[in-house]
Amino acid sequence: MRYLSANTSYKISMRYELDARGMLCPKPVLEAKKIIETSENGDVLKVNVDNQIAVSNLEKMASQLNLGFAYAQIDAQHFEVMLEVREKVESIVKAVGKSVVVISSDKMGEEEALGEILIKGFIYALSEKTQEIDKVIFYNRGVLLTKTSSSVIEDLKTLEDKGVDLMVCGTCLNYFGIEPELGVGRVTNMYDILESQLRAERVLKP
Amino acid sequence: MDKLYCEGGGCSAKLGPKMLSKVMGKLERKTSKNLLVGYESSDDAAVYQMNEEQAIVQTLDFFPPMVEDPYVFGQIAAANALSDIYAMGAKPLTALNIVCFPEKMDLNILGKIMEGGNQKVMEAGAILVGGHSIHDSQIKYGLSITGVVHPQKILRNNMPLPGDVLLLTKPLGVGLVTSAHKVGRASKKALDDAICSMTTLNKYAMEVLEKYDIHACTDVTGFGLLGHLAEMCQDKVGAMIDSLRLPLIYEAKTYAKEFMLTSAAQRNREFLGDRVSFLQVPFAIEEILFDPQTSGGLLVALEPKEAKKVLEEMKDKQIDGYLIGEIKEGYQIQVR
Repeated sequence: MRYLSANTSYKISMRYELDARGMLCPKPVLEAKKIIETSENGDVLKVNVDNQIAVSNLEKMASQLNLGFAYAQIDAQHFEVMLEVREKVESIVKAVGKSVVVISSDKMGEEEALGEILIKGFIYALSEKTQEIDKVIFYNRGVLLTKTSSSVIEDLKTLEDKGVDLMVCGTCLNYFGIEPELGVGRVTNMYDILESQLRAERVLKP
Repeated sequence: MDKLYCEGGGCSAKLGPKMLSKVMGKLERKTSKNLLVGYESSDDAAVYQMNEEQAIVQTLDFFPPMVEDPYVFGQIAAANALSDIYAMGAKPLTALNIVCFPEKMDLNILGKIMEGGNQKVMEAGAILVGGHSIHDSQIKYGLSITGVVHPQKILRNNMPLPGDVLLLTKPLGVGLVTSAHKVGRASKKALDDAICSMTTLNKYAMEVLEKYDIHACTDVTGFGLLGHLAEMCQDKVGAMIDSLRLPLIYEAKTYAKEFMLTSAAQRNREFLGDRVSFLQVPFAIEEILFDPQTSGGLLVALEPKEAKKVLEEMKDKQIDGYLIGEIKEGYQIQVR
């Protein structure tokens, strides 16, 4: 319900209450979610539950949906949880970094012997431009370049010493069985790899 | 079709691990040199040595329904009870029913439940010898199984070694699917996948595994993958789980994102606390790793070379097997 008058659009926040005591998981959260879905900014929902687990599950939902969350224990079988609907946060990730380089192979281009020479050259060139590079991501055969015995390990160490974040895919290291031979960088996963590219101003591939 | 009312069934009905360890901690314990495996090592079953060649294995499992079809429920309960035996490397011999059934309910329904249970017991090569039933406002069903194992060949929970790889034989997410089903939101496909997983005996995977050198083995049930992994590791070792390699029931991710969470999963999460760390893993994957599984797969720790051979044989026999991580030095369980 929103009040509108001739000279102002005045919004009143709604306060809802849900008694979820006696409901078994996942009902308390689902019923609360139903109410939240039809709510607007500033609306508050009070949920009454009878166990701590339900409080924790509501807290998880609040965190995932960016709701305000607070709770109080009224007595042994009664907890009050307050959920507040907040401004929907724009989840567009803003680019904050410089360039991120993605290396998916241990050679550059199709032809094998030539490709090995080219990737060496590329990595050397990178090591001369560290001020413009934020991160270098290695996956699939690219992780082979990060072994201590790799022919580019010195240049990679230069990158690392100059503050470039070298991210090496863990699944890939595992696949090739070379995790113990990692000579540079940190082990990471797909979520980090995605996140880094989303935040980059520019993503480069050799 | 006769239908059951599913309220909070399956292994999400299990008492939480914290609660259990509190109570168990207070019990006066006697022991015996013949007791090879008892509850101090958080094992799935008790093992008592009879002679040089034989030890008896004893297990117990029962719960309220999580599906509506009574026959399927019976199958699931039996597969779940038998799972403990297989996780031990033992052979099941006899089974006893445990039944709670409302006085006024149609006995045909109970008949179907027990038929389902019996089918699985027979498939396992064991004999249903009897049982005990009482009246109860809520249906519950399960079995106590007796098995036998060679004392030198017991697959205990507690000896994984750093450098071992972790192999899992069934996909995760069953608890989330049955939770969604409880509120009428599970798709037919998801439910079928979950039922298929829950009614598959771990017998077939074990028949392959027992031929190889296994360091540790457990079945994944009410404490979720991370809970059972932590049990396996005790306080001796840690682990790394690669979330990309986890076999999952696809829709379980959706149900987690829509908060169809079980209370058991939260209890499992709280029990493990700081021991588990997640490296930017999505919320849904976290939840699936704490999700209680009913009649879940076997989680095995073994050397990488052995694992390769095991997987080859499993592939030949069309048995699922997935490498999901490793055992590490230390105490932390890291999920990436």
